[in-house]
Amino acid sequence: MGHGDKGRPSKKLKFSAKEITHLDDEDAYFGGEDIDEDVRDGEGKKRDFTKLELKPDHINRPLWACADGRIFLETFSPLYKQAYDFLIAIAEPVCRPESMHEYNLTPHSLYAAVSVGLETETIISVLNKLSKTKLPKEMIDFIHGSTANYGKVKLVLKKNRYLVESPFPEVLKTLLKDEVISKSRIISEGSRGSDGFTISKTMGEIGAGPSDLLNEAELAAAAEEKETHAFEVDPTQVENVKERCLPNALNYPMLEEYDFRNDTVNPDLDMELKPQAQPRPYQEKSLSKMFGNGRARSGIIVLPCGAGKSLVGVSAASRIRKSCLCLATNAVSVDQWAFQFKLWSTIRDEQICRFTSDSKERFRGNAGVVVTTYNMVAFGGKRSEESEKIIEEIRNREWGLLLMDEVHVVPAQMFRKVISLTKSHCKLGLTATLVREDERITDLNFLIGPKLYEANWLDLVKGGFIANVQCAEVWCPMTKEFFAQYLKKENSKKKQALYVMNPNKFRACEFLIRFHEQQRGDKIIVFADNLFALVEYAMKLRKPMIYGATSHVERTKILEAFKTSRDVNTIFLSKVGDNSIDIPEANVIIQISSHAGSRRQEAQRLGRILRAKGKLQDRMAGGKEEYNAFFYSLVSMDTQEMYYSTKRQQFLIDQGYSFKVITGLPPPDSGPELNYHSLDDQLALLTKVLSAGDEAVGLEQLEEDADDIALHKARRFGGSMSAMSGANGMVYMEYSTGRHKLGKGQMKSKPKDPAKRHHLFKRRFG
Amino acid sequence: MPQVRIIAKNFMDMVAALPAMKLDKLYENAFICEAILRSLPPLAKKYVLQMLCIEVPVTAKSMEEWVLPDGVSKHRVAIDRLIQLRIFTETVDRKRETTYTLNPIFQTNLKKLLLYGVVLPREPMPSNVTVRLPSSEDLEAFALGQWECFLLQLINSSQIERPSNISSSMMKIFQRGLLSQRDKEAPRLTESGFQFLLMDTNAQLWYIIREYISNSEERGVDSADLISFLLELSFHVTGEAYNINTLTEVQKNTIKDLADLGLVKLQQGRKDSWFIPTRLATNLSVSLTDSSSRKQGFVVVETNFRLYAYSTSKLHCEILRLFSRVEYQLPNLIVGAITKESLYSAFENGITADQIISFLQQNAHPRVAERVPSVPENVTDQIRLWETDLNRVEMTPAYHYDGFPSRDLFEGASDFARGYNALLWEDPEDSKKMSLVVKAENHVHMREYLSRQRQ
Amino acid sequence: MVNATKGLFVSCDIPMAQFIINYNNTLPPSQQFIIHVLDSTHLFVQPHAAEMIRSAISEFRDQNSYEKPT
Repeated sequence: MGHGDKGRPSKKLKFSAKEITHLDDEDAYFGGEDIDEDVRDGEGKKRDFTKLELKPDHINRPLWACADGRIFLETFSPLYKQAYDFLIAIAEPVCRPESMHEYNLTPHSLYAAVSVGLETETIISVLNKLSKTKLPKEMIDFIHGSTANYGKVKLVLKKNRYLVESPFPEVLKTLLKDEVISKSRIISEGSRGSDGFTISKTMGEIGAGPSDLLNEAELAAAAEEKETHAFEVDPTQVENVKERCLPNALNYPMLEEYDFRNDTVNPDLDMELKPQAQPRPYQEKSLSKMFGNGRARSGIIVLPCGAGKSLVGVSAASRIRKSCLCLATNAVSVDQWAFQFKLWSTIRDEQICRFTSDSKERFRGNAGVVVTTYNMVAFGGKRSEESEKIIEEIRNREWGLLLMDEVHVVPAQMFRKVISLTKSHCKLGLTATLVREDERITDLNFLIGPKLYEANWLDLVKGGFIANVQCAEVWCPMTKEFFAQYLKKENSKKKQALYVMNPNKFRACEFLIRFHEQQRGDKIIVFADNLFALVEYAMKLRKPMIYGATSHVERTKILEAFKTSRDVNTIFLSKVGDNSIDIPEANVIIQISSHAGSRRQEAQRLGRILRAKGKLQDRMAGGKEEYNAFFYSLVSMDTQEMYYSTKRQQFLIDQGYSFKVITGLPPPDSGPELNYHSLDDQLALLTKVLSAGDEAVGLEQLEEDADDIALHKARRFGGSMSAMSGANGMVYMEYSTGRHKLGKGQMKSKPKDPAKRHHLFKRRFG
Repeated sequence: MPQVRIIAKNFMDMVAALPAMKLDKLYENAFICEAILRSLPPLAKKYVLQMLCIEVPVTAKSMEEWVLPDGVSKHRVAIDRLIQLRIFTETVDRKRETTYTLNPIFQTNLKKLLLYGVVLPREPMPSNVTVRLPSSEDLEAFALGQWECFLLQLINSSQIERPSNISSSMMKIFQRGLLSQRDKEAPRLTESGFQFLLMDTNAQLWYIIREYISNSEERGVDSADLISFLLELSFHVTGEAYNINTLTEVQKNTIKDLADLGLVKLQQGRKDSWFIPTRLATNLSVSLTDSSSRKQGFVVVETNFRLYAYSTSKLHCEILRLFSRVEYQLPNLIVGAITKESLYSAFENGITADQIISFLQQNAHPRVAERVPSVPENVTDQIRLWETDLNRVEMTPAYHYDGFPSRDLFEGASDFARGYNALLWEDPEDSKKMSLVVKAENHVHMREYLSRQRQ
Repeated sequence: MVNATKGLFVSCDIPMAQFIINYNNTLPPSQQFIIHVLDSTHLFVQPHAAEMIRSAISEFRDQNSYEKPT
């Protein structure tokens, strides 16, 4: 299908440090999600499949399969668990609420299915067993068509030789007809057979297939040892060979597998999981997909935030037991990963090191773990001598595992660079939010590997593995004066500031903070993308805040206070807090402004409070605490924010979350105990918003957080930790310098084009 | 457009509404008398049987002695019903004493019935004459199929596969009140039409039959004859074949219409033709209040506004289309989404949020019916919020009055308008301005009042 | 002398009133339809303005609401 290509911005982004600075800016890399959706096929298409023949015992079967690839699954079926595991391996989930799931069969999803060891006939036969109707012929053809080429060829790094492997010698012959590939081939002496291919046996798939849904003969066939043919390629040509095999060329995309048990060249790393590290069932399942045939597959594992991605990563590293390069998105996250490695595994301190702008450690011995950021590796500018040395080591080493965190936030260009700079046998990507409209999914599929496993959010909630979050959208009516200004044409650039600073919203926010701090003793994160609002709110309410220009040291200090101090129960975060900052104590999120319609950001933010708290039995379905976490999105009514808010929720809604609409906050009887009660105060605020420069009231544009190198510059502007104000010790006064710098940053970055957004509105509603 | 209030009326209500002459004529048929007797409330039944052999009037006083004090209200209901149906005649004599007499024709016929047993209007045909009689499942499927096909045609659906033979003029009569037609636009369901679709089959059948009867005179058919025939039919045995030659010409025409509605199935043998009553026909005599057994629900609504209907019915699909976007149709499942757009078009057609919500709740699939709430709260909230959102601005034709020469005149005019309940707005007391807004329809009165004051 | 003006009485919430006022102000004077702004939730407008107001509101509402594509 490759529909993702249609919406791709034609502009080729050159990779440089400048681009790295807006790592998180979805629109910059995706050309807006809207475009992509609108061209999705099927609009107005008639989907009448009533002619499909129902099987007599259809009641006992859990799913319907449509000719266009859509699959509906009843979750109350006794076969649900098996059917879910099977479907998640072969199809993309569209939505997974309580009673009925929907999936789409796509070429990518089938590629992933094939790569975890499912064969065409197995897919069709299991699907047929589960289906209430006879399978539509179109679907069978589609499966055949999509899997004809996929998974037929593997790239295996064995005893430090790169082998192109396949059970089908004719496929290898096809590949060798390609000039690039045939030139890259190394004819070795041990090769047998008429084509000169090496023939060997590989282990059959264990545990990957839905064994309980197959009969014995089918099982036997799956577990049987397979005869494979292979030829060797020149290690320097591997990337070229891979590229020739991509769908836009020969269309035999190669699966990458690492036969780590037989790797005698790379030294072993002496580490294993500690006994108390007990992977949960879904973590175990993820790992079994990765190691299903005794080798390590490259690919992506999708688990909700808080569900224990790091244990999966550490477990994978402990199984491979070779040097591991772990990439995170920022320095705070680097610290957290290093901590997780030490927490779950027996790795010794000297075997693990962090490489950031602040800490340039090196591990001792011939094998170890390096935790760093994407930017540290990909940075193209001039580095310090010390950094240069470390980066040289990283580049020269053959890594057993390249562990990549939060793969969804890293642009493809960065991936290409990182992957080409580092040599690794196996790549494991971790993410919580694979938003499917991203074109990036195509890139990820081929740069890292297919999706190996994806957990169902609601199942994890029911099992008590992640928090049961009550989501709410709080509707705040605009005040008369703010709305009058909002509607004026000349204020079009201040719209966002006006709806975010709506006094009714501020009061609702203040009310919620008080309620959760005082009535429930909760820990609260308030998110604001709009820096002007972040600063105004935090200062007014006398709460600490973290944004782009806040230094690593300051961040750590504030987070520490939030974790341990009884007096610090609310912190304000700009979008630097969206990813990777682990704040397990927080259980309430109040979102006062956000990045337009980003579904991923919404999910990421929710993820900050998903880590389950309290006792397991209380959290499980029917337990004492029905809801133990709260996610509020504050929205000013009658503004664009309503549009964005609904759009943002779509991903979570598809995972089965529902947003309760709350009106009437703060309660009508609340008076001057909340700020901005008097009209005079409201008008003063309005004047402040209107007199601020257009650029000051926009989104935070600098993403120093994603770039430790930029952070150095930021600090020169931002002043140091000692600039902390005296008053409560919690309010930082250097925001004005930060804001100043913000203006500069924005001039450099891509300007928001309001005309473009308007155009999209027109298309949708015109 | 006449407002049609849909009341799922009892067949007997319809009988009771017949004029006295027609009722008396109806009671000449012994069979009708039995049918009426069966339909009565238990206490009324008892009174009729007690009075069966009493030829003289019975005083109300003595009848009241038959009941215990806590049965008084039931007694009242029974007596009212009997009087309504003209089974009892109430007379008040000079001493202001009320007495009741049993309708003599009714009495005679019932006595005969007791002596000679039930006489069916006609006997089933022997099985050696009839061949290929449908099984009860086939008959049931036929009946529901016909009924659904009729309903689809009734609501002007594009989904009809084969139109029934019901004349378009008759169809128009049925559609009266259910569909509205604006100039040049395709007819649309009215609010009552939507309510109608949401009723269960028995209730819908009643509505249609009632229309059919009340319209019979226009077709030259006596309504009492028609009622009596329909009642007769309801006492036939489901699945048996009855010879068409036993019917009158009028009845023969009627039976064709009934076949189109699915009440009977017509079959043609080598020599004879016959009709086979379906469950729809035999249910006619069942009081509606008795058919409380609800159909099993079939709809699952998810928190993401998606809707899954376990149904094979095209009609269900049409009903869902009224307020949702149908996306997939599978052999036994309809998949749709409740969207803002789909709801707005429903609201425009006069369907209310509450109707939609109660439909979803009443038809909740057993899987979710136990859940509280059966339809997710965020969905019902949102449906209501969308409805309120549409009604945020209210506009009323009005007149604005200002330039009052004195406070007295202003206040007088304001009070005057208030008296008509026509004052929409006035300047608050502390305001220097004096103006008020009054409903346009009361402008004439205002003008008169103001000119009176000037004099 | 009492004046009577025929028109439409508009009753709504505060933001909607602001919206209608703003919409009125964007029109050339010849097309402006508001006769009186009575208070923050009540307006008096020309009799023909109903459809215009409704369609402006509905367009505005559509702009602010997201509909998930099929």
